[in-house]
Amino acid sequence: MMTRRQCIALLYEMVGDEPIVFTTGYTCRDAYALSDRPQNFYMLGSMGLAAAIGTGISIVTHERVVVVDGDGSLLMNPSILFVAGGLRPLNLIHIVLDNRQYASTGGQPTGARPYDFCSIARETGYRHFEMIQDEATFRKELRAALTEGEGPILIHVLIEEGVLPITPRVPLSLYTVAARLRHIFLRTEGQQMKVSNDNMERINDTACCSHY
Amino acid sequence: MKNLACHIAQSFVAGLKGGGFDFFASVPCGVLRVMLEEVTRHVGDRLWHISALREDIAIGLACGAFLGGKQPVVFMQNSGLGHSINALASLCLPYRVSCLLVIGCRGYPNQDPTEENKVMGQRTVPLLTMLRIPYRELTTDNVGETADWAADKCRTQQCCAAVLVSPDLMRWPS
Repeated sequence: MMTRRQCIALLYEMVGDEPIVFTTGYTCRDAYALSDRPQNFYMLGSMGLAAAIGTGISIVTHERVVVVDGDGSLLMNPSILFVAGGLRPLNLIHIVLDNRQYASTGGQPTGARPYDFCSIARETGYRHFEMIQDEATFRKELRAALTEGEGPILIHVLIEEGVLPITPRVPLSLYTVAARLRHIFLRTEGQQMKVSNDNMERINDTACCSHY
Repeated sequence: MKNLACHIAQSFVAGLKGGGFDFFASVPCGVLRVMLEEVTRHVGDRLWHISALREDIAIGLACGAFLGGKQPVVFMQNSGLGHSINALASLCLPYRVSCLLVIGCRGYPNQDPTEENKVMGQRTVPLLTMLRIPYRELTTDNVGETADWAADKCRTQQCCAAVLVSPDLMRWPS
């Protein structure tokens, strides 16, 4: 079985400019530690919403979007499988890294055995779905998903359970994480992001982000 | 009477569209039924309406649309505001993803006496206040002005904001 870090490293090796939405916890930390890109969206809170965010990006941009989800986060909000499947064709590659536990909170198990997410994906309309464990198959599935088009595609990867040395928290401000990705798409459309100092003060007054 | 609700819906949705809102995600709400029908009429190449299965998923979709360069609106019943708290508190607000919430308000005193909606009918405004999300109540007289206010909050100031829609305004139940 691969480790989470090996999976993310392989993904980085094979992607081009695709946005990648990483689910919360150690997944974000490992992703940032291995490599940072402006197309990386580190979802540090809102567990369960990574695939919904990725779906939203793909719907409006028609771009291929990769989501790196976890078994715990998908189980928290499995309805997204029905929403994404129902939107087919949807240019979404939904990777689920499954270590059968909530690693980031102390390793509590998510279930007695791996759940068959592929059977749900089949039911809800995903175009392709595969449960895998080894690197060669993951490489082959990723290559096909990143080149052949129509999704949504589910790649359910069983990964090692052990917790490796923990990587540091993502040091970026959350505003930066969102703004730099949005800026890519606004720039593509010939628009600009306008955030003056005045706006920043008002934003701090009306939202709780002054804590950051 | 129902014609007035349709007229309000037409004006408000046109106002939102004119104000630059172009991505709509919704979970069904009886109070908002006429408005959701109106949104669906505007769907095209550059205006989306996605039906989500839960309100926090709708907010996640909206966040994705915002990251993709669009200006989102989420339609929900106030019962779904409960499902949305974490999505607002740990995603929209700290990432400064500006999203407009249009909230159908069940449980308003004298408009909807159902017991199961009474608590949320009373708590919708306090919840928004605690989250520091500015809100406005939609009325027959302030439709255009409220759409403009929403555009100013979400597009110009890049804040989240909420528009509250009462059962009486939309002649619910019709």
